[in-house]
Amino acid sequence: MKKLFFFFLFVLSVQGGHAKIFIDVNGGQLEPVPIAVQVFEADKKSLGQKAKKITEIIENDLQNTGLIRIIPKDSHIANDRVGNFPTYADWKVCGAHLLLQGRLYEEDSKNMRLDFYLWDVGAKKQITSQALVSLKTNERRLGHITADAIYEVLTGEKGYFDTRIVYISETGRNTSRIKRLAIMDYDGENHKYLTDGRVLVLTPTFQPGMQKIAFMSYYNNVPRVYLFNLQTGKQETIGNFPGMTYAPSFHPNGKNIILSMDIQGNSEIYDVNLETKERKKLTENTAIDTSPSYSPDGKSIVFNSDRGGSPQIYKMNADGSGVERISFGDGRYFTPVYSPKGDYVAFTKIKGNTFYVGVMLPNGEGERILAKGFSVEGPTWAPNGRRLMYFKQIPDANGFDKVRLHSVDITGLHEYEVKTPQEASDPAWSPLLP
Amino acid sequence: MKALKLLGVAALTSLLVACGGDDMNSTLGEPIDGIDVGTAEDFAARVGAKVYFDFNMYDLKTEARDLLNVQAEWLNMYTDVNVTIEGHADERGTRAYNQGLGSRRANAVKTYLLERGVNANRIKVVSFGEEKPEAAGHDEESWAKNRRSVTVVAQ
Repeated sequence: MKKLFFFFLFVLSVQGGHAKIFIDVNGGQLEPVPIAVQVFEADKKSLGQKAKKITEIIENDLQNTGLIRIIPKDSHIANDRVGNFPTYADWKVCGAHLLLQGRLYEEDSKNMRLDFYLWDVGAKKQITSQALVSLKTNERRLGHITADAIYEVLTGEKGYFDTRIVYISETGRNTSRIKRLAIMDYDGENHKYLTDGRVLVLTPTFQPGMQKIAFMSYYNNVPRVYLFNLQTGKQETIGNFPGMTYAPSFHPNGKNIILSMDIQGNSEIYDVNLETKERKKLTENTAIDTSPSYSPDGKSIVFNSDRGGSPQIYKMNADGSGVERISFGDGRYFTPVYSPKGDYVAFTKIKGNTFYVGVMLPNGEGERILAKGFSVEGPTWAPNGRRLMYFKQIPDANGFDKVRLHSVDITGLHEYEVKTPQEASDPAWSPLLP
Repeated sequence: MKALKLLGVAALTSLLVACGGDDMNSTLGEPIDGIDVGTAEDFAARVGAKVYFDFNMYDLKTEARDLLNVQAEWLNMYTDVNVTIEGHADERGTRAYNQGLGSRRANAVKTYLLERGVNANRIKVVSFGEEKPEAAGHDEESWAKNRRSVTVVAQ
């Protein structure tokens, strides 16, 4: 146990030129990296519960990745205090490759501050130490932000824990489902319903700036795309369209929305400027053209079309030119979604009566199936583009199907069910919170 | 008998009688006990609302045309009645694609009724995609029931 050394040095700072990648999120890392996490210390007794809670949130986030394994507390031998060098040998004995410590402080009357320290047990070195501040009431966000920082240091990729999910909550029999717009943290906490279930709602998606959600509603039995303002709770139309509008998603600039408009049984893709209401028609044929998704640079659009006879995935330039089919696998392909990094397109595929969720390169090559089942559908990307969420339907003989959200990483190896109060479908993952 | 019942025009009454007469009261325009003519109940009892489609298709099969002929006839008889045509799909597609497919089906029905002389401003269409299945099951029998259009008489 060496004495205080870096205790005041790293306050509100980020330390460590961490070039080394400890965890490879892209490869097939089969064995999770073991980390020992000591319950965070509290600088004041009144912060003790919060410190414990934040520790648990971080552990849950890291464990959810499937890439990291939390070593049970009862196998800890050492009980080191923040401010001292760890007793590396003891941590090594309990199997830890990494050690996480932290201490929670009262920053001022409103805010708290977490100083955390991440150690490489084998190399006997500090990997990073950082100080993060949040409102005292916001221990969940402080936990997620800390976990994001740890994830980034270990993987070289941005984290995705400080995010939210908007989705459709479902109750009732298959033939008379009640569907409600709902929002929650990525881990299912802070759950809130946004609509009351009187009107059928579908396919929500976040505006990049997170002020609004676009979704489809059957208000007055006229299916149209609406915006839900998260600040005011109010709903607004996106302009007066002559036909049904559906399958909305945002341009990365947040100002334009791309969707399908159906006039007399013919669906075409339109880009709509939400400020000027100006609309551009991007497809022109008798096919169903739908599920459009912009590339992160806004230059390219992937979409679903049955113009060739069966539903497949196509790509075009943002002005509608240069259309090419990119899905050539065996089956029918739907719901293409560009990853936030632009390096993959996620999709739903149906072959026979089996559904698949997978990813392919934007040129259509390198197809990889990540989930399959009676029905798996509607992938949405975590903002770092290394994990997806989708919904999975389990048939029920009595007509009350189970529908749940699932999360899987792009290797397909690390999958888990996301807890929701009711049945859940149509998830959309937010960007990192502003 | 079913097809004849659906044809249900006054001129065919004698034919129905000739066939046994058990469907006498089904003739359009003649009141069935307790049901007023030209109402939603009348439409349900005498015409029928649902047209079925093949997987991923929206062309109208012979049975569909037969039923729609009677729907058109009924609508041409009660010209102050408006209808909404709902288009539905089975679950073997995605939500978005099935919105488009449901619209194709509803519009195929609308187009047919227009060709039979029904005024366009009396017909609304709405696609429910795969959201409102008729059958809750997950087999061909259920899917066949769910690939449908429903002509709903405005109350």
